[in-house]
Amino acid sequence: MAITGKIKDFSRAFRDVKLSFLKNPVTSDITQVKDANAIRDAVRNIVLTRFGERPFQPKYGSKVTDLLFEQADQFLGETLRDEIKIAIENYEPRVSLIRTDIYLLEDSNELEIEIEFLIIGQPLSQTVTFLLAR
Amino acid sequence: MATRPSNLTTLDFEEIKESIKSYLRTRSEFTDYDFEGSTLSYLIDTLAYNTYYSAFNANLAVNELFLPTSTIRDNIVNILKYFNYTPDSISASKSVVTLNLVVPPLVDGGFPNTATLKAGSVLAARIDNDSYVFSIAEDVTTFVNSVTGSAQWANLTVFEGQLLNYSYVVDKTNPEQRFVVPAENVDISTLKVYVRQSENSTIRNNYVKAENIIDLDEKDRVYFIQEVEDLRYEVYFGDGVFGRASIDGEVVELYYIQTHGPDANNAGSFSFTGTVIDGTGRDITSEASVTVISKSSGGVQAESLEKIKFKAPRQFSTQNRAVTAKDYENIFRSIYADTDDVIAYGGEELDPPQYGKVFVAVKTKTGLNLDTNTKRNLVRTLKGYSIASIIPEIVDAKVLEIELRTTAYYNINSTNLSPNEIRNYVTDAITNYVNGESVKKFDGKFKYSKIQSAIDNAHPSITSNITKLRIRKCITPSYGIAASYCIDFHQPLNNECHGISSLASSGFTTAEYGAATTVYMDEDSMGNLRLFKLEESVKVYVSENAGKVNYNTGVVDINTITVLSTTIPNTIKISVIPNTYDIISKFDVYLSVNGSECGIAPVVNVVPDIAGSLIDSPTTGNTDPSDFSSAGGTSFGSGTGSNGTTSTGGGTTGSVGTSTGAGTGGTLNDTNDNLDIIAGDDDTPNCF
Repeated sequence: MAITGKIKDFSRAFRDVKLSFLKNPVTSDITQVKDANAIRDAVRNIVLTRFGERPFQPKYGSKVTDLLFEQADQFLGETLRDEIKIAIENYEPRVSLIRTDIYLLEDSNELEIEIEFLIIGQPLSQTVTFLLAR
Repeated sequence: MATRPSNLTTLDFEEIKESIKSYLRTRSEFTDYDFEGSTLSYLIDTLAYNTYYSAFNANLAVNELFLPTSTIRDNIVNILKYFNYTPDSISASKSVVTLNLVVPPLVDGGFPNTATLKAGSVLAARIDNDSYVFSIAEDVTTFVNSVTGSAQWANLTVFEGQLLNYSYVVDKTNPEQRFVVPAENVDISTLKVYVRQSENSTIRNNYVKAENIIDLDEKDRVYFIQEVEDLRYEVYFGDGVFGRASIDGEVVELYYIQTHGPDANNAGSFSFTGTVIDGTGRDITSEASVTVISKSSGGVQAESLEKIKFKAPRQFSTQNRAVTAKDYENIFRSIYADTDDVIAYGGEELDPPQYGKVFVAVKTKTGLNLDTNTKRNLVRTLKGYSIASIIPEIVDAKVLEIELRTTAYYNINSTNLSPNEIRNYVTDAITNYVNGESVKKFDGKFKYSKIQSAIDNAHPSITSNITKLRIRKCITPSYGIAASYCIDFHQPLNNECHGISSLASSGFTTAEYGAATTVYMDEDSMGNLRLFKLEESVKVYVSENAGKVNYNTGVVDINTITVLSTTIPNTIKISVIPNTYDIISKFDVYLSVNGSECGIAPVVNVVPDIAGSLIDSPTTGNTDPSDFSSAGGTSFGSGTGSNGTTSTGGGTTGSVGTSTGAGTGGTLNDTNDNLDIIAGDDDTPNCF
């Protein structure tokens, strides 16, 4: 088969849609997120997705959201840490998990979860922090 | 050029998703579609799910448009309206009885001219502790004997179930009005439709069911029927061109019987519960005596979806005309719901030929033969479809029972199963083969090699089997009447037994040889049927020429004889050895293995496959077949022991009961399969 056009070099950067679906004020197009930001969003998506939420993928996600209503003790922290580790290892091949810190904010009935990971191939670690409210 | 998602009609979610990803790979805007955590992946999932859902819906909807793939009854029924096919409703069990009643005299000493049995409940019966009511759908009037005052309702057909009715006032301003029979489990063949001019009118016109619009005009009082939602039936009337149209204000009365279907089959004892009034309007309270002409039968469930799918296209192909034999079969299925299997054949195929006749042989689901009334009614219905010069005749299936005896050898080193468990495997294999598509039917074929193969494959430990078979028919003798009998086995018979009979029968007594002498039949390998009695377990022939056996055609003729009684109630069982072990049925012969009262369950023995082990090995639980004599006519037992010992295997056989002949179960000397007599109780194996 004859080559009829120039083979285009695609960038190996990660490009994703911003989950908020906000409009880019400059281009008036949907907001794009790239590279580390895209991966940070992906990590958060995985952790906050409940089992069964994605169609035809019953094992995708984690129990983190469901665990919010468990008794808040040190066992809960360990369980959350394990859940996050398993979810990220299974579904996000682009990162290597370094640390997961969980803070119980009793006054506001919230859990603060801080996940530090390394994007494979990059020297600097990234951190995602989010709050889970009951 | 960017490709488009191309596989969007598949019913596999992953394929749809992959198709969308393939499209995104050709675009440069986003790259994270391969990572499950990405927002893009969430969008792809949602899109794929939506596509999948649409494809599934489309598939489901389109499937429901076609008869072979539709699954919802309402849809199937709607498709069949194109074929003018109405599925059979549940059918009430029917019984034919004769009622006799004496009407009390009037004041003047005379008797009224007539007595009327009112529509509704007539009889009550109990089956397995459940009560059933049998009803009639219309009043039946009969004459009263002016001298004795007796009234008789002869050959009255009663239907199991309760007679119900419902009325509609025709409202032409309501375009949605439908005349639906408002009850479930209604035998729609019992439906009576009457129309009154108005609510105040007492005169009602009877409407009859129309199957099509041929010969209908605007005055014909006919109704049509169709199945609607939830197994209900709707009555509708003509349009004023084909059949009279209903008029505003008329009252439509529906009478119908709500039934229990097959649950009420086989009721043979009834008590009278009906209402009788005489010609002067008096209620007659005296109880009628009930004579049962035929037990209740013919009750079946509503037509199943599988049956509808099978029957409707075939019935449509007949176009309501019985021309070929297949047409008769298809039409018969549609007019008689209790049909299990049916075959039709032209009389010219018979020997001697009967030209101008079509024979329709039927095997009912209940296993009972059709009574004369039902046959007459069915012939009348069939004539409506057949060519003018052809006379349909309905005959009962002639069940040809196959007796099976098998000994399966198994390797004890390759299984931990007990002999009983292996026997169960073998029995299951036999049952599966027999119940398969090719055996139990008209035109059935029983293939010897197949049954052997099925037994060998019943379990991996089975190494081989020895299987022998007989064929059997039963005749119902005419007691006290000198009559000859002809039994046609439709197969060539074995006559190479070299002096040992290949025919056996159960016992009976005759006027010719004394009411106290039970005689049996065998044959001499020369074509002569013989009668013998047993004296101290020895055959003593009372007749060397009691009939003929035609080995080529399989016909056994019994000369004129007067049967007085039979050892098996109402039956003489006759078993023969066929010439080949492949049994093929034709015409009205229906192959069966233990499928009727005449039959016998297959006898299965299992034996360890080791040197020196013979059929009757120490394996416990083995049985000898009840009807296969094992001693060649020389060793009828003299004891009453119930576990005869074998001389060849050294072990014991299983239950060996008593015989009905002169001898009782005793020593089992060998395991030949020669026939001598048929024992009275099939369920209790005997050996002689």
